[in-house]
Amino acid sequence: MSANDRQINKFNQMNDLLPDQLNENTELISTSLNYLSKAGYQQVETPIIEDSDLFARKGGGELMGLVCTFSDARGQRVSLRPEFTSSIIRLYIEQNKTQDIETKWSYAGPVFRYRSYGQMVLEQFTQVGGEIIGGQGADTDAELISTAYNGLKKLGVKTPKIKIGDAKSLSKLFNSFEISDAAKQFIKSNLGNIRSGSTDQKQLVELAVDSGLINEEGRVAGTNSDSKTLLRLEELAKDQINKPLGRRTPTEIITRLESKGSLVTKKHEFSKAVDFASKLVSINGDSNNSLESAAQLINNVGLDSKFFDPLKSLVLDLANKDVPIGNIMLDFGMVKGISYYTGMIFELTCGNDAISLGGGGRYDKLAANLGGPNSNALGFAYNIDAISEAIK
Amino acid sequence: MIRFGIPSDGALHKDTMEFLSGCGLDIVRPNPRSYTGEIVGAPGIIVHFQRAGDITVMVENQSLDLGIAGYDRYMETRDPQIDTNVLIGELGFGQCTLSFAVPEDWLDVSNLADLSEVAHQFRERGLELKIATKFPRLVSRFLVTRGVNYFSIVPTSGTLEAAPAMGYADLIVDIISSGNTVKQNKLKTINGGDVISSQACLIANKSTIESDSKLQTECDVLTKAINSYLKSRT
Repeated sequence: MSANDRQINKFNQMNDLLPDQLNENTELISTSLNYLSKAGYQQVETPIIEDSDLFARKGGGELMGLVCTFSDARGQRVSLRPEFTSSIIRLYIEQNKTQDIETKWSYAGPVFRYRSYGQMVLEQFTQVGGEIIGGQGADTDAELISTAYNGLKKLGVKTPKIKIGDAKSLSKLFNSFEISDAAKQFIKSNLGNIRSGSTDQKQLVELAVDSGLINEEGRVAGTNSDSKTLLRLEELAKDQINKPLGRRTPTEIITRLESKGSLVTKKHEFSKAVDFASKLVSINGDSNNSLESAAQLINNVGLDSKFFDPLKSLVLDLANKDVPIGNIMLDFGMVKGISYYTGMIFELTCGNDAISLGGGGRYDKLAANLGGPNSNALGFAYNIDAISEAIK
Repeated sequence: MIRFGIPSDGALHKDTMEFLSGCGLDIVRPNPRSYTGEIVGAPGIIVHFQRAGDITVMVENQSLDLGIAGYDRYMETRDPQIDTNVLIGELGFGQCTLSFAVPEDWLDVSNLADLSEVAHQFRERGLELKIATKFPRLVSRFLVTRGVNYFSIVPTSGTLEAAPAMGYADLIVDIISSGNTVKQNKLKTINGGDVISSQACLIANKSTIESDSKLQTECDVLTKAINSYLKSRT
């Protein structure tokens, strides 16, 4: 047996830190936490391993494909945390916090997720971040983003930049098209593919036809009132036992069957929405130009250009909070995590090659989705390893 | 010697033996319990009988050089970092489809779009649609590209059909050959719910074979015999 056969190496993309690097990272973590503490965030700690369902419920399939999940010795599905937000919200719920009072928590520690480098590789990196849950006035978005931005300068990042997207606008804009909720979700899930060019509009329409989302008529094919279906409906309503229904009740099934006519979208209307979304997601760049292009696009489909006023105000609020307007970029195609973000999304970058140093966004429905109160929430996280590289 | 893995279990075992015999590659096993065998007239090939589900991984970790696997299992298991490839994609047996099956009394669900909406309803109740499957990677990728994002996979190795009745999943995605088992368990397939159509294929570890001319020669003997047989059948 050769020496190489006996040697066991660390996983690629996992971290060993030698003294110098460790000192540097520790310094960055402690500066970040002190800065957040002065901004009113109290530090908490959560476990590295959590029930897999916690992350599945936050991000659904989109996030779960990146999570390191395995069965523990008892056969329970557990995951290494891919980020802190889910655990922080779980902790918030378990502490029975009231939604009227603002809770500001910070955290620091390693996270693990698969990342694609052409191949999927499990990567470890250190995050420091802050979450604001419950309470919240109108300008919290600007407060959080400016805190994140100005913190980077404290850490020694010379020319940080912010890229802002808006998950809410996209959802609202889809309301101007006569398409079902499922069709909206379908388009949103594919925005990244449209933008990267890996799916074209025609392929998307074909896929939607195959899935039964759209057809030429925009109506459910066939009828639900044939005698066989009616008979089974009656049986279902009467006999609520011995039916393998998963976790659905007969009432849910019957109610949905009755309202099913609204589900199918007309192919023509769907194509219009896809065309609009494709154009919108291609808009990005400095805030003034991007807002102008976006306003022009929505004018073309008959919408009020004031639609983007909240986004415009956010940019101005940020400028008033020491974020130079020239360092604020807008990106209407920012679609990462679009299934759980409910408002603004942002990414912190630096340099011309736009290395990502962290990011965050608003996810008002998350606490409710995890079984807690209907609290508003938003947060951000730094990638300490990327920041350490950026300031070298 | 080239190490050739063939399924030791399930429907693929019998079909593979018959297929190879048709190709003129009769396998001789010293006794029925032996995990290895030889091919008559091809002394450079050693046959390893392995579980169908393990063959892809064994070709990847170089315990085998070649193998016969279901295309579905290959796509589910393969590590894109490792240089394996499909030498012959359609061997003409082991055909099956990986499909969604939902409780038949979900009268409102007849296609994937319905399922997407049901997933939303679950989400609003603070739950996620639980899907039992032996193919978590393929199923997740399939659903995300079709806009169904609120689900969680329950990886299962045993019988899946009972999952909705037992309550540990709401629906299943499984290999459906005839549809009888699905029906007997009060489930039904849905339109647009076929994840992948599969059949047996010949896979190889490209880098090990290409780096050794002897292995390449043995590999050529095998693929030539198989290709001639496939051609003769068309």
